[in-house]
Amino acid sequence: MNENDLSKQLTEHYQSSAPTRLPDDLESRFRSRAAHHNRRRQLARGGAAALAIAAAAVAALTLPNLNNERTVRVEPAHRGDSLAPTPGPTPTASTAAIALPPALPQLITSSQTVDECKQIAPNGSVKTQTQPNINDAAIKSSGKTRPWARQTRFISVERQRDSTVLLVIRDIDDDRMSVPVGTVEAGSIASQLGRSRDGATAFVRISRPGGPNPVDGELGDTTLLDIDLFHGSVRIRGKGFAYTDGQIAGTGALTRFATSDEYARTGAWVVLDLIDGSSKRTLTLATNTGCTAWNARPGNVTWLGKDRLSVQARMFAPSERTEKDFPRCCGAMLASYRTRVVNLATFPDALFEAPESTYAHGPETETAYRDLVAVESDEAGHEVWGYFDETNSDARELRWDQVSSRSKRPSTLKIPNPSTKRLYNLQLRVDARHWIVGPAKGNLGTHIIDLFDSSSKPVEITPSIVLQK
Amino acid sequence: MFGAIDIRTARPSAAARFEAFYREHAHDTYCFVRMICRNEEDAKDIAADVMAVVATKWKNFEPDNPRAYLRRMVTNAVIDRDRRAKRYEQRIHKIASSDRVDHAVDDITTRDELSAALATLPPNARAALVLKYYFDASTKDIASTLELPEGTVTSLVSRALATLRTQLDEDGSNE
Repeated sequence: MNENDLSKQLTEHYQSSAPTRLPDDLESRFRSRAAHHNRRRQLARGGAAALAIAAAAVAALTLPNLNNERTVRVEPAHRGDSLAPTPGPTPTASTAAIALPPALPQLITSSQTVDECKQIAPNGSVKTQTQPNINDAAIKSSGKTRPWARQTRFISVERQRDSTVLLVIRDIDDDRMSVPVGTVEAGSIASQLGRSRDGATAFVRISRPGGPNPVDGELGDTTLLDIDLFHGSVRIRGKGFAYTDGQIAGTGALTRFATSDEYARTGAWVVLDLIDGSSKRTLTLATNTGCTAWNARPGNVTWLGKDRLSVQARMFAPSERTEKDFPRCCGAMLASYRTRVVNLATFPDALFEAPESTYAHGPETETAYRDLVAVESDEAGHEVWGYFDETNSDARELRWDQVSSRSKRPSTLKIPNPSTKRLYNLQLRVDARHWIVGPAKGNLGTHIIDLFDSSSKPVEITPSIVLQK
Repeated sequence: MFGAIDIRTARPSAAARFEAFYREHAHDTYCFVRMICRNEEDAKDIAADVMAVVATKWKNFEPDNPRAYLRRMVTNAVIDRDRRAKRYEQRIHKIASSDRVDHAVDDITTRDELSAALATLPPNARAALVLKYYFDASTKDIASTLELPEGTVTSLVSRALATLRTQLDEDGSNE
């Protein structure tokens, strides 16, 4: 083949393969990525409160729709706007290309003080308490604190104008850091009961005086939330609230999707911006961890119920970060992204439904960083992934055939770990109802991991479902 | 829209300016990335990411040649993505048997021999070929876009064409 022929072929090839129009979902990806960059930028500036501003700004973002010249514009939100969530515009046939999500609840701004929050409490029954230095212990015991975590000194639970209960982590200098932990209906009482012996856990009781629960029907009259502070991260446990685990520093997992209006009610940190056009359905998923955002494409979303959905999604991996900077959940997403489109159909449900005793135990609270080992799926769709302490280089060599050795108990896996370092937080996802979280026991050498199903019953591990390749 | 980038500081005209910029360059950028990227989904991600980066830095975004700047960003993004994919591939191979791993990188659209051959070229070379044969850019323009010396561009294109010729000839002889 001579050069002329090749040149001609190349020209024809490019001309025939050149896209003639922008893909429909490019703008939603752009929105997602812009939101992500904004969050990272704001985080880099050290202001968690700025997250809300960035999120609101992104919510107000209006994109030109180059394909059909239809554009929906929404005025950007500003500080000082009403804290009450506002519903998004209803899609119509003519403006259905983009239906913007409702405005995100704003966090406390530097202009608001604890005293002001007390004053604006609607019925005077809200107790606002401040606990200084609550996470000093965690910070001191940590080898890997994040810069802003070291600056954190105060924590309080506060009510906002819209009845949002906020766990407020205040910077010692400018009190700008705050974190929403959930929303309870008007009249609820938020009080801080105390803290754990090591000072790393604040116990907050959210009481409500009865009536239908806006968050979850299973929520009792009194819900106890454990708020753990580890390495500047926040872990919240409690029925009826999104199991929002470590979203700030990113130690935790994405455990729940919230629909846009549910987000407005619960303050869940996993934001699902519903962009529901008349002829297509696009979901933009984003967390406000500042480190991940991903899109679900039209056709990959199946509604399972009121607040459940099944999603096949791809994550946009922030290119600026290294793998070890990714939190556990994001690491999983990242790896899945890299292998191919990840099937998230059961991932959030499984974690959300996981018995707390299964999921919440263990050393995952002991380090904020983990190293992703693998994500795979076999022909049957079983997904398996694991994470190890980033310092444990030997553990990275773990092979599935090593994992497959079993102990005497049928529901237990024994994982030999030749390293003298501890194996952290191995998660093996088996199928929709079965997973392994560990290590439940063991420290050095061998790790015993129990396998439960979603009703906490031990599940016998059979070669057909686990790890036998 | 892009007052949203920083609503506290952005002027209204900045949003309008970016919107105009997006209208002018989004298609060209996507076109370029689609032709050098081996996967459509990756292409969309990269195009969106590049525009998002520009939006984020819009306040100080004043390149002499915005189109060339965007293309350079795209090329760098494709290079980064390829490298990451290779690193991940290596890690996965350490812990899993090779026949179980699906490589995103290998999910190449190999519709024909030429596509397959192009997919084996490094991103820089693919970018140079696209610029030369689709956008009809001169060597000088390609060098300016890719921030390479003209001589390097010449040899890059030459080597790429040689590789393509070799591969296509091999394919032809195998049939």
